[in-house]
Amino acid sequence: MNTKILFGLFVAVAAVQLAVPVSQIWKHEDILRTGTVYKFKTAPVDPYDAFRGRYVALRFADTQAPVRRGESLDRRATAYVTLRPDADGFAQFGELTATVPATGDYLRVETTWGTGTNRQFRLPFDMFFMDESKAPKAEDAYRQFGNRRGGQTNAPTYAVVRVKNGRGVIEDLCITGVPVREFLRTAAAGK
Amino acid sequence: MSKHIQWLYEELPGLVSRGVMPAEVAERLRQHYGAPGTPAGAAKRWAIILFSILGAALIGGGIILLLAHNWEELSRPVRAVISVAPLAVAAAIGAWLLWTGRTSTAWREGVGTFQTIAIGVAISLIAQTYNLGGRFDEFMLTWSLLALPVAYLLGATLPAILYLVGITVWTGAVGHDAGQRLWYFPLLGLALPFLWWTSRGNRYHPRPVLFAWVLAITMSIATGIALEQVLGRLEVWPVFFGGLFGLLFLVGARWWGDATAAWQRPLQNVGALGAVGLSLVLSFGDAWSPGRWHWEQIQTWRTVVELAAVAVFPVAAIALWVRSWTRRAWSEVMVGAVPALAVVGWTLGVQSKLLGAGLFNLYLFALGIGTLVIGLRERRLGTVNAGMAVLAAVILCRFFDSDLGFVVRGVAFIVIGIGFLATNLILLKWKGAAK
Repeated sequence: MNTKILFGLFVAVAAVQLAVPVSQIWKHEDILRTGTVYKFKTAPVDPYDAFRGRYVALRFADTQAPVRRGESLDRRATAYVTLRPDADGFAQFGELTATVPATGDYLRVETTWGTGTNRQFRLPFDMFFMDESKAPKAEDAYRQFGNRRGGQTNAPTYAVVRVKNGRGVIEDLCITGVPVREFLRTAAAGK
Repeated sequence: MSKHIQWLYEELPGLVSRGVMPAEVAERLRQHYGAPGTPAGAAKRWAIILFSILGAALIGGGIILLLAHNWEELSRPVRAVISVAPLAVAAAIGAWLLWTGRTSTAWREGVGTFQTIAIGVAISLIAQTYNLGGRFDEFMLTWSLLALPVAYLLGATLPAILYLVGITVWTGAVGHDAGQRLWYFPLLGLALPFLWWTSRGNRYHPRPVLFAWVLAITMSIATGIALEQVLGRLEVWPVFFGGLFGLLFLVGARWWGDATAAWQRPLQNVGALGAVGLSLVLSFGDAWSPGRWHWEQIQTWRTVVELAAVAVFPVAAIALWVRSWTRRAWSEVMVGAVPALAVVGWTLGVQSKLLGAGLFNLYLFALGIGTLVIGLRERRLGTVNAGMAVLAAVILCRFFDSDLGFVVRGVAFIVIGIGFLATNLILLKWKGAAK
């Protein structure tokens, strides 16, 4: 093949390869800067990913909502759940719909299973990445202070999430209401 | 290296002295084919390719591990720059290579490998920075698709190999939707021209050979997963896998038949191993389940498409097999018989377990003895051992096969044993006569 054509093709391919990560950065920076803040109650543990490092796996409490009347949703279907904050800023799920809601904040989710008119769903974020030495400590802290099943604590564990146009990006993870990194620093200083 | 090239090299001096071709043409031919006859040349070529891939892969892997540590001191913008920096550097070096027209294998393989890893680094690090969940299969597919063009543009092997592995992982992980898994075939189609392209000059070069090994192994895994539903539900898996392994073997025998070393025969090796393994499985009565096929089961278009994809493999294999007959290549005919036998066996096995299993027992004995005889005749120890291994495997399978009664097995073993001793005597007599 002609060197110039080959060179041109290579530059085009390299541009696409770079455009994929750059557009990801752009999109998520935009959500973090201009998205609405919500808190999601969580239950973290800490697994490991060879490519991305240590993370705290997040499970969210009460991820279910009623399906909008007159609609039906299959399992493993893409759906949208409407959101509104309660008095303390915690996210309250409204209803599940198959189409993008016209007003208000919402998240794009995947339905899992459900009975009657209610459906369970999976939120589009479930990993919080941390320094490899801190992630296990964050898990220990959770075990001590986290939300126990059925129990209510005054200072719960939650993820701070920015939401915009159906996408959510985790900004921080809070244990007993304090950002996890600060929490770990204080805990280390107190020892 | 090819026997043909070796032959050509032996002929060249004679051709020049007889005035058939001028000396410079002979020299140009030698330059074009390199120094194939010498094992040292091939070893050097392997060393160059493997060392450049290993070097670049180690550097890239090191970068991944360093970044996976997750440096909290770095701000988000700094991390964003770091995520794309290795990819930008790799792209710049690649562009410079193409601009300056450097064709050395070491450069291309090294830069291609590094660029491939840089793509993975960029995607992973962004996921880490923005806490993106994301599924592993989606990550592999994005990475593989972005890397494949590098294989073609730089002529680098690793991106192509990563692509094959990537689409296999994707097929396995894509989830419950069987229709989506069928995309494996078009995705595979994107990688096949790479084999054709790299084997144009010298098909025994490490580059196409390495690719063909990964191709044969990943295809054996991924095609089965992609068609899993139809293979299981309609019980057509013997026909499909017979076709697949037979096709791999016969394509290898047809286009890579002059290989001088075993590692240069990836398709034949994987194909033959798969064909014998499948035949052993099919020699058990329980492998066949009569009465599972019903024409009424073909109800949706997807089933039709899936069955068509299944049929392509045995049809192509049988077409090549007929060619082996006309060329009187008997060792090819023996191993390549599996697709045709699978079709016949499946037609019989639909009626009765015994007929299907019986056919494959007979076949395995014939294959073992035939291979043994060819090995003895050509005095090739490897072939003799392969024949012995097939016989040993089928004998072991039958010895422990609880479907058959002890008396039946006992009598059959004794009869076959006598047959062996008789054959041995005849062979010895032949040998004596030949002296």
